[in-house]
Amino acid sequence: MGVIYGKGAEIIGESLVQLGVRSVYGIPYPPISELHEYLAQKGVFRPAASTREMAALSLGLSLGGERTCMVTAGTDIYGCMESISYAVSYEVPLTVVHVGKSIPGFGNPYPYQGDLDVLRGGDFPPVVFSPASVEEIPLLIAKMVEMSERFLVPAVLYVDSALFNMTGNVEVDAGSPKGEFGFRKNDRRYYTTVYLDVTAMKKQTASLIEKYKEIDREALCESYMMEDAEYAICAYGISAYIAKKVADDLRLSKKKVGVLRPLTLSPFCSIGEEMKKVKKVFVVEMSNMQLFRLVRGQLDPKVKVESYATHGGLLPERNDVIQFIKGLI
Amino acid sequence: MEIERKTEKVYGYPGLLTDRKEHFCPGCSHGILSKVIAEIISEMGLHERAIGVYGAGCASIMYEYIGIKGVGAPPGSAVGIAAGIKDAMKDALVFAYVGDADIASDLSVVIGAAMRNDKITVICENNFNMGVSGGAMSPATPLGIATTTSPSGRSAAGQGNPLALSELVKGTKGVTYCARGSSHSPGAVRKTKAMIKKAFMEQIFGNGMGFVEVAGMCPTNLNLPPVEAATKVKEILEELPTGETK
Repeated sequence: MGVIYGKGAEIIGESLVQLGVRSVYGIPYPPISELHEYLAQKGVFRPAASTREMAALSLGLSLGGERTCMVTAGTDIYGCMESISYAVSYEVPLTVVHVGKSIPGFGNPYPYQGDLDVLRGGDFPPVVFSPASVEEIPLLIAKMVEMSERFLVPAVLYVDSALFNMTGNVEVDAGSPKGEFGFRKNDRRYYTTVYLDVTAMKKQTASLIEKYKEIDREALCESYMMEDAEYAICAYGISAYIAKKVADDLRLSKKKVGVLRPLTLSPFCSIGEEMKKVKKVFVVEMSNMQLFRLVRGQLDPKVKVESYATHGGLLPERNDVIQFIKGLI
Repeated sequence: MEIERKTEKVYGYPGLLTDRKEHFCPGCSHGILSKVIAEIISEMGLHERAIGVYGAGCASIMYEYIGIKGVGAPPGSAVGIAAGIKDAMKDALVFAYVGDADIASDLSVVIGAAMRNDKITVICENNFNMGVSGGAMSPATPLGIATTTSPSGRSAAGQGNPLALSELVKGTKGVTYCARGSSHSPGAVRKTKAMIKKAFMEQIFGNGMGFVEVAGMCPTNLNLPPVEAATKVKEILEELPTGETK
């Protein structure tokens, strides 16, 4: 508890420690090794032999009723999707801190937001939180853990490598009462995902669909200067941090610009109504228009939507975004 | 003169086996091993502390038959899940029950557990093929054995040499007990039972990981009657010595 000065990686590490996480298995490599180093100093880090082993160990900890967290970056997340799917079916919590770095392949360790569709994919995706500042990290990690344990579903903190490396004076008070789950809850003799009888499988799927309807109601979104906005920027993560600065600057030149930032990427908040009153929406992101497609799909076809996307590990430059928007309004 | 007859029950249906009918084929070793494991846990009085993690394959729903806590694991992940559960529940007796193809599909989970000296038990039923796939070649299929994916018989030039699982695992320091048993005869089953018991004891005493490979029969996929399948396994074991190796 208290204010600590550190990088996003250290803030995440401290938040996990305060949440009572006792074991985090992983494979340290850039850019996530700094988080592993912090956890090792706290006696919480344990080595795994592969990404798949890390995922299996984390699932095992959850089945054993212990709070844990996987840490992944870039394409690592693919190796964890199997465990995420099994956690949905077992109905045990499973949390992931996923660092967005440039892809495809290894790419580079610089920031990117190319995993949005991956994290939101499938019938039962994890709940995905996206902080837009280092200060928000402890709050959203605690929320991620709380939701994962309340609904017994996987949850992800999707943080781009820019925020992971940014420093700040952050109050870390990420405590959260631990839920009872897995074998510690002692309400089930066994955990399985095998339902060879289609009726049983249908029943289980229907029950999960109902649960995900409840989860949909937990979507979070931040409106920034949207009250009188004529133009809206939609962005998340570090892109939203930059978008707010852009909106501030454009307001100085009498352009009524606001920002709509989804805090949860899955479930995704309903933005249709709020966007009806604006003349144009600008989607700012670091990916091949993944957020753009998501936003476009929610809006009335009459609402004009423009895309500003960067790639390769380059952040959206504040002045470039301002010029882009000015050129279209 | 009336003779007083005293009877003593010396054998019966293991109390820990549920009354659910097993789905295994006639002559399959999984049925034998589910009974052996149930007996051991019962004899050791550990049924309340025991958790079985069953790998993908024919035995992935063995939790239905052994009346202890259980998990049906994702392919290749049973040992990792067992290690995670053990980390969370130090007092539990946690074992992974896996097939030869399942364990070989991701040996990193075994290597990782051995690297950390995780106190778990691994029982690997090696029936020399991928039973649940209808008899595809597994990494442990011996040379010359025909499978659906090596129809002319496995050859070193074609599909490569088989993996010897026990030999592969015993080289790691974290594995403190390693043995290869078999299930092809009642005598072999008795010896295997003793091996599995010792592997559990390694965990209970906190020494390290116990690994027991058990050669098993898969008559359906070997296209042999059960008795001949057992004879075939005995032949295979001439190349793979049984006994405690560590």
